[in-house]
This record gives sequence, structure tokens and C-alpha cells, in this order.
Amino acid sequence: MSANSLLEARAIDAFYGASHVLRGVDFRVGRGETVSLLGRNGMGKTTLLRTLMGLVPARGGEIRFDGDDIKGRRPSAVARAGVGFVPEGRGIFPNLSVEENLIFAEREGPGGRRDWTREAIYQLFPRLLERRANWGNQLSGGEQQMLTIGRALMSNPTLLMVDEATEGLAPMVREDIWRTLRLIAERGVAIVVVDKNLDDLKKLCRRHVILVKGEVVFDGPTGELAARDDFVRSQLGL
Amino acid sequence: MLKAPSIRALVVLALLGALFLALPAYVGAYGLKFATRMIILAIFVVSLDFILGLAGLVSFGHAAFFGVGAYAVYFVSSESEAANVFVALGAGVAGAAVAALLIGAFVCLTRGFYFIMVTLAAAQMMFSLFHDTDIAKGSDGAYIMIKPDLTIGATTLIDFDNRTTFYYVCLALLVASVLALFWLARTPFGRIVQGLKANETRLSALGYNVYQFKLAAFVVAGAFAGLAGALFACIDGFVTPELFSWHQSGLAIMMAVLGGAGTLFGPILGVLAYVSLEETLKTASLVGSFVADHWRLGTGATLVVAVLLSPDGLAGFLRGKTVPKKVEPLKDVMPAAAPRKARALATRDLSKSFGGLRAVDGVTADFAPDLVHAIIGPNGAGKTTFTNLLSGAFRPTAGQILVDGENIAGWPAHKIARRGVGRSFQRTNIFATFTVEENARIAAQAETPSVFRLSEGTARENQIAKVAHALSVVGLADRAGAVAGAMSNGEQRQLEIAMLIAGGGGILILDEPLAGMGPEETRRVVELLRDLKSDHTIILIEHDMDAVFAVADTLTVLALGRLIAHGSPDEVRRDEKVISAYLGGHAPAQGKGAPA
Repeated sequence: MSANSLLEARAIDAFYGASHVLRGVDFRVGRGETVSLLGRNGMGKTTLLRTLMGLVPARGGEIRFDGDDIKGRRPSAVARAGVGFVPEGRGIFPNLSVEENLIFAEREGPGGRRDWTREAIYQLFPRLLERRANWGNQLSGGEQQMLTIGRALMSNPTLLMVDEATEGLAPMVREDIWRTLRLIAERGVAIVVVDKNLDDLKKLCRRHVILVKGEVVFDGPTGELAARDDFVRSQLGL
Repeated sequence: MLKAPSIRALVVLALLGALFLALPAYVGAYGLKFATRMIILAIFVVSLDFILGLAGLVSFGHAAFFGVGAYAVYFVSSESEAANVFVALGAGVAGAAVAALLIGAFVCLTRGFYFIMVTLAAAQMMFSLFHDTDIAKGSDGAYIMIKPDLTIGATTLIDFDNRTTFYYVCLALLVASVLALFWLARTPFGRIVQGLKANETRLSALGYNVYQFKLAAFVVAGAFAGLAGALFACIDGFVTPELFSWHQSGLAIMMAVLGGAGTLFGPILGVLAYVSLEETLKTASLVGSFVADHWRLGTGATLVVAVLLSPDGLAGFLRGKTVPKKVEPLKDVMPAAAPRKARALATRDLSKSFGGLRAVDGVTADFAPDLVHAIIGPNGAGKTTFTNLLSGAFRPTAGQILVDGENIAGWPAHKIARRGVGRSFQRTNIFATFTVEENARIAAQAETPSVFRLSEGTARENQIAKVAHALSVVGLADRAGAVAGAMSNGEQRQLEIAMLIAGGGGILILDEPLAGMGPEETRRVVELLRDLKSDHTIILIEHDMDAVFAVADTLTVLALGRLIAHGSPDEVRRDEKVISAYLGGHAPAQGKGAPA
């Protein structure tokens, strides 16, 4: 494992019921690096995130995070190691206020870091400050998404994994989410993003990984992605 | 959905059947009575599984119908003459069915925990009725002096007093009950009953009256429980209020879960295992007096271990290949054209308040037929609430919804769906445990949403065609056999659309159909909308502005619950209010008049 590697997964296999979803996937994220995970629907993007998080068991291969072997650990242990997860579908606590949702997740990060406080989250998402007394179920889709990202940050992760954060959001809100993710990356948090908007991903991420039927078919920097445009378009169905 | 038992399970069941057929030759009177009791309990627990495992209705009062069945035999028996077996068993079944109809009429209004509580309370009321009044000798129980028989002329063909005869009658009725319930589960009616467990909301949105289906399933299960109760009364010719007790109901749930709820054959294994275990642990000569004295501890501990080892019950150990059968390949043939359905949609001063919040505030709009009407607006503008009003998921606080001029405001969701208004959901809302094909089939079947449909008859071919067509249109034809819940989010979104098409409404409401779709699917859905609009009215809620401006004929913009703009895409695109509230710089530069 190279010195600046944060997450290093090698030869990961995973199953969903009887179907073999991930087939020997290698996936690496450096410290503070921004990586996009691309592919058509049903190719294994979400499953890869869930496997890294420990929500789907990895069969075979190894997963190392910050030097530790995290394969087979419970999701709670993976989170404590410094991985924040923003799942598809958000999953905020509907009967807690915005503020309570944030307090719930408050925790020191690895090495006792406390970069992200409630104040910092409110600075990042002024909208959440306005709505901080509202219940989770009174928020609009965009506000829920902001809260989910904010909540993940409250645990001071060194890696943030974001699954389809802009899905179902109005264009202006989408723009907000992308801008915030760039700000988070500037503060040194490594980010893995699954999304459909290639143009936005190119602006945020330096490296891109394409999954096809559970295998990595492309892994390279933005420049190479642009250079192999035809290949990329055919793989993504653009 | 209910699967055919695996080959392994069939072998085990056949062996058990052979064993039970041969049993009377090898066991004495006690053993035979013991086996008879097990068989009757099995009928009871299988009947419970029909609502518990298939419909997902956890009834904690199923013993009420067992008890009614037993007491019915007492009521039709006289002290001097044997009752006819058909009269006795018929009275048990009919009595229990009527009781289930009366009780079910109330309990089926509830769901979840309340359903458990209310069924428990109803059974306790029945218990009290027979325990505390002397309609049937009260708490002491009552004797049936002469057991039922079947006598024609001078010959007695069947006599329940004959242990062996009675045993075989019970065995035959168990087999018949299981087969009958299995068959029922695979009829169009049974498909909807299983849909109750998987997704009630979606069933309503497709036009099914879920209350009627719940009640019908409840009555079917009650009737079979009544059969078991009637037989039970004939074992000893004795009935007691204890038959109604919640222990009896609880035990049935335990045996169903132990055997494998939702399989219809698992409960038989559960009964055999539980009763054998209990008898073994009670026999001091086998397990010692200490264990025998505390046998409940033993059964409890064993059950905990069993559930941990196999969460799917004993039937879970018998999973495997099923007998292969011919699968009809799905061919994309154009289904027969549906009769022309309602199409013109309009709202007048439509409003919905939640407490102090006016989520939809006096919206008046006309949606003409054969056009795509897009509704856009910021998150929280009230778009989804608006669709929930149109589809009947919410009741409007004020205002009208007109379908072909008829005001449907306040109608329940299933009635609106039957009027031809189909909808897809923003958050994927499918039958997760069903296959893709079964999902679409439930939608296609909604053209005839009545309860008592045991066969599709001539509609079958056209339903299969509708399913095949809908799946191929959204690009899921090769996924027909996949379990919907195991597919990716995007594929589930595709299935949402397929169900909407298969449902065949004339007015289609699509709530963010493109969220979660990749570029290919997006193109396909946009094409699809263009095709569909020739004979549909389409309401499209969507944030993908490229798609909206590509297909929409009119645009309606909501903000804070109010209509702020309504018109052609070009007009709306230039509207200052719309640009500042929603579009920002995002209106695609298409045609003339795009903002700078």
C-alpha cells in the first residue's frame, strides 16, 4: 500500500442474493483525492460503495483503509475508522429536527480531529441553519440531501462516499450540492461520488472509474477520460 | 410470490404422506388420536399462513375461527341422533366464515400493530362470549353426545366415531386444504393477496380496493380454520372456550414461523416439529423428570435456536430446484387496444394544507388531452403533493379535480385509478419480493380489479401481451425473471414506468420518472412519452430540464404551493419569475428566446 493511499480495495467479489455483482474489483482512493464512479444502472456502483462500507459482505479480496484491514468489519466500525457514507435515498431521521439529526452523528474523526462542527455545517449549508428547528420530514428533497451530507461530515470522516446525491433535485439545488462537494474536497476530505452528470463529475473529480458488469473497465484521470471519449460514451450509453 | 415447492420439499412431503397413510397399521389408539390432532392442527396453521405468510396480516386472533368451527358442530348435533358429517363440517366452515366476515369487516380497517391488537381483542371477546355466558354451557365446555356420521338409508358410510375412518378423513382434508390454498394463491385473486404484503399503497394506486382483498383473504383463512375447528370438536366430542384463547392463536403463529411462513407447506412441518418436540420433552422416561417438569423452558430454548439457525423456518432447509416447467417466452406483441379512457384533466382552486402549511394553494389549471404537460418548480414547491391530490393519495382541503368534467376530488385512490388515472411514484414503489414480470402483471391485471377473480379467462393472453410490451418498451424484457427488489435503483425506476404503461390508464402522472436513470434510459423514456401522448394525457414532473424542454407541450410552474406560470415552454422559459425561482441559468438554449 503506497504511502498516500487512503483506501485500497483489491480483487473484491460481492454478491446480491444469487447474482454475482462485483467481479474482482480493484479500487483505490488517495488521501484527499476525488474519484468518480461511473457506469450504467445495475453495473455494481452502489454495491461497491456498500461493500466498502461493510453493508454487503465482500467475498475474496482485501479492503484496507488508512493501513488497517477493514474487510469483514461492521459498518459502524468502518464509519469509526473514518468513512462517511451518504446513501442513495438519504435516510434522515424523519422525527428529529435538523439540529438533532446533526448532533446524532457528532463524533471525533480519526486522530481526534474535529474539523466539522455544527457551525461549520451551517456555514456550508446556510439553508440548514434556517431550517434547523424543522423536523426531517418537513424538509424538501434538496434540504434533505444537504442534511445527509452534513450529517456524514459531523463524524469527521477522512473519506466521504456519496451515492446519487443530486438525483431528483432542482437544477439550482444541484448546483449548490456540487459547489459544496468542491468546498469539502478543498478542505482535504477524500470523496468518492456516484452520479449521472458526467460534466459535473469532471469538474469535481480528478480520477474516474467505470464499472461494467461488476468489472473495472476504465481507471484514469480526467484528461484520459476526455481523450477516450468514444470508449467512455459507449460504456456509459451517452 | 408463492413459489412451487422444491423437488426436495416434494420428496419430503411425499415421504411424510406415505408415513401418515401407513400409520394406522402400526400405532395404537393413543398414537392415532395424537396423529389426528397433529393433522387437524396442520389445517389450522396452514389456514393462518394464508393471511400471515402470504398477505402479511399478522392475526393474533385466528383461534376465534377455530373455536367457532368447533362450537358449530356442537350446535348442529343433537343428543339422540348423529349429525350428518357434511352438515357438521359445513356448519363449521360457514360459521367461521361468517364470524371472519363480521370481525374482518372491522379489523381489516387497521394495519400493522393495530391489526395485531384488534384481532387479539376480537378473539378474546369470542372467548368471553363462550366462557362467561351459558349459550354453550359456559366455562365448563360442552359435550357432543353422538359424533357426526354419514348414513344413507341403513348403511353408515362414514362414522367419525371410528378412529381410523376419522383419521383418514382428516388426512384427506389436510391434503385438500393445502392444495386448495395453493391453487388460490396462484389465481389472479391470490396474486393481489400477496401484493398486500409486498406493497399496499401501490395496489391502491393501481386501482385495487385493498380493503376488499384483505377482507376476502381473512374470510378464506377463517373458513379453513373453521374446518379445522369442526374436525377438532370431533376428536373427543368435547368443546371448550379454551379453543378461542390467545394461546391457541399464538401457538399457531409460532408453528407457522417455525415451519416457514409464506410457503403453505412449511406450517405442516412446523406443527409436526413443535408437537413432537413438546411430547418428547414432556416424557420423563426419555428426558428425565427435571426436563419433563420444565418442558416449556425446553421448547422455548429449542425454538430460539431453530429460528436462529434457519430464519426462514424448516422449509428454508428444503430450498432447491423446482420441477422444471415450460416457460412462455415474453414476445413483444402489441396488446389489443384498450377502450378509450378518460383523458381531460383540470383543477379548480385546488388546495391542500398540512396544519398551517399550505402545500398546494389554489391551483387552477387545465391539462388538455394528447399533450405532455410538465410541472416544474423548486424542491418543496408542492409538486408531489399536487400529484398526490390528483391520484387520490391525499384528500384536497378545498377545490375540484375534474376528469372529463366529473369532479373526483375526495375519491379514494383506487377509484380514481379505475377512472383511468395512472401514476408512478417519486420514490420507487414496487413489489420488491415479486419478479419484474409479476410486478407488471399486477399492473396489467388492474383492468379488471374486482376481488373474486379466480381465473383470467380470455383476458390472459392480452395481459401477457401488455406485460411483454411494457417491459420491452422500458428495456427490461431480458430482466423479466429478476426479483425486483434485488435490482439496481435505476432498473427499479424503469420498472415503475413499465407498471404505469401496463396499467393502461388514459391519464398518466409521472413523478420524476428520470431520476436515477442513465442517459440511455432517459432517451428511451423521452421517446416513449412522445409515443404515448398520441392517445394519453401526460403529466410530467421532472427536474431534467433537457428532457422537459424536449417533450413538454405546456409548462406549469409551482413555487410555494402556488401556480406562478402556465403556458408554452417558450413563454415560460422567458418568464422572469420562473428564472429567479427555479431555472437560474439552466433553461436549455433551444429554439428562440433562450435566456442569455
